[in-house]
Amino acid sequence: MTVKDVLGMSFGNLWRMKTRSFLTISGVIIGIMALSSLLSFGVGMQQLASENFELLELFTSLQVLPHSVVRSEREDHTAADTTAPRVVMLNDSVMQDISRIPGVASVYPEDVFSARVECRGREANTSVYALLAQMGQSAPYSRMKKGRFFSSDSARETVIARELAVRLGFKQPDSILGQEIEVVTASMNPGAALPMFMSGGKVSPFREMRYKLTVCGLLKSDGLDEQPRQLIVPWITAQNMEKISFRSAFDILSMIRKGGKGYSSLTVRMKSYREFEAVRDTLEARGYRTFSIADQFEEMKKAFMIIDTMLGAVGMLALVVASLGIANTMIMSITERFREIGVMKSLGADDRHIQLLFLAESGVVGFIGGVVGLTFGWILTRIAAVVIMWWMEKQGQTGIDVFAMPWWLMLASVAFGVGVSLLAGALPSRRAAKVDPVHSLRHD
Amino acid sequence: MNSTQIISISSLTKRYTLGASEIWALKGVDLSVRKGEFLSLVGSSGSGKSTLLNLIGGLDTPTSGLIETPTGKIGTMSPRELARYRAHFVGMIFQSFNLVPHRTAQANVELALYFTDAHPGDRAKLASDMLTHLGLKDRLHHRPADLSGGEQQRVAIARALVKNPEVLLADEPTGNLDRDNSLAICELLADWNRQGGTVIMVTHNLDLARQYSHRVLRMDYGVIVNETEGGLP
Repeated sequence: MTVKDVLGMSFGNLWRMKTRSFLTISGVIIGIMALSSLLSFGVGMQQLASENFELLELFTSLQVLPHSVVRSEREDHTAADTTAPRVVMLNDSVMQDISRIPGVASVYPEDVFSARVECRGREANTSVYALLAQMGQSAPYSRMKKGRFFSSDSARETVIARELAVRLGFKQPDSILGQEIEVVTASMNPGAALPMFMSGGKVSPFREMRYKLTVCGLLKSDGLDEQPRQLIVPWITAQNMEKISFRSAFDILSMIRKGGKGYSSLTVRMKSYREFEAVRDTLEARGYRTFSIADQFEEMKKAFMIIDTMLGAVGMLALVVASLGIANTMIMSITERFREIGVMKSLGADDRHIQLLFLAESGVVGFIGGVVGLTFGWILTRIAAVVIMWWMEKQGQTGIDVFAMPWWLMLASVAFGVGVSLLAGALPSRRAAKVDPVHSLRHD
Repeated sequence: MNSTQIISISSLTKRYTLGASEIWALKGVDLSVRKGEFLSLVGSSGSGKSTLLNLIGGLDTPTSGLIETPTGKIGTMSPRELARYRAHFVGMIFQSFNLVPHRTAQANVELALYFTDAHPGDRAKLASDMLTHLGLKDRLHHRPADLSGGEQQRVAIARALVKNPEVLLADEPTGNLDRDNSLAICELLADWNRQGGTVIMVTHNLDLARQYSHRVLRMDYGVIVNETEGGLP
């Protein structure tokens, strides 16, 4: 008996009992549809996060933050004060120190201050990030949603996030390109010091400073969260702005302790992800405090795994119910074909042939159910993706596709459908193989 | 077993257990079947005829005793060897025809070739030729329900003979047929026997047994009680 014979007989038997086969296969279809679409969601979320991390070069970059360093950990320590901490100020010499670490591609400073942004009568408070123009050559700034990164460190240009444009009243965020915005900073007013003392504190020591900048680029923001940097200005342009560069009282306390102000943070880019761990370990060994998303992502992967398992379990429930249907169908089939089994045995079929025939029938049910279920699951995820994107865009967010159906998930879904069906058919097929031919040939 | 023997049976017993009681269907049968012989087994219901036929056909295994055939000894064969024995050495026909109802006449005959060494591409032609040979050329694509009893039994004979067995085992092949059809079926069996095939037929019809057989064996209570010469020389 050839494989073609086995499959031919299996398809033939299923075709003969159309209604029953349809109902049995429907169970598998629903199970695989649920399983594949739920897992597609889990995989999609993970893929989306991973893609965005890669897009933003978060796997090859980390931030160095100002930190208290214990002297003994530094190369220039002295035996006298091994426990006395000192504050590392992130300045140019630190940048040079870091840039010499093997595996480091580049180090960029970052400064941040609070400001109010005004445009066409609308205003919004935000943090303003000052970056070097050369950062426009690397991700995420090398790929803008619209427009370009600013042309030089002293350009009177700015790059804005989509969300901030919406907050400023631009329903079509793209239309903010070329518009002039005003960055309003708070600055110390030295001339107000005397009047402030004279008035007993009734006169404010601060004043508003206004800087007009032209929006030259719109930041790409198709991640799960909103773009963390809402407004980016050129480094020198920012330095020339009169401003109190702090966001909280902690910044002032830190400045007082450091005896001056360094950079808010440094961004360190590695040549590749392979160097990531070595560079991070070196930085930490030298006493720098680091923060990287790559570390967080490992934790996220664990969370995604749990989510995938839970989603898979829900899909599995449907498939377990379907498997009961398959087992029931197979047992009914044995009863109906009791005499046929005897005939085949009298013609020379052995137990193996009979078992194979019934197993193949279960497998065919699983295969058809798997393929159709996967197709329906895919259609379902596409519909859901369109609806979700439509809803997100309606809410002023960037629409994202949260489903992914990689080839391995497709193969695994069909294989799983076949596997579960074979398991469900295992016991009935064994029972069929054990049919006594003498008994079955006399059976009416 | 000498060269003229095709089946040699010695001290064959078969016991069935039904609940607490034991039934000895065969109580020690000794029998030798010659190659090319037409042998009939007659006897009342429950005498053990069909049990003996099932044991010779490899559908059942003996409680004790031996059935020796050129391909091996039934009782010592593995289940797979026994299946191969059924596929190649014996062909079986039954009183109730036992055709697969959803398969056409040709497909029923082809089914017998699934378990032989016949090339899959040759099956259809072999089945069609055999049915044509038995006068069913116009019935190739008819299902059993569309055929008369005589035609169904001829399909069953075609199914048994298409694999070219050494021995044809017929379990009351005329039991469900009228006289004319019974004679026609027996003629087909005799014709195949004349070409050198060995036939063992279980029947209640003593006249047919005498007319077509070389030997007629009467069984009673699980043993062979009488042996007479048949009508064939």
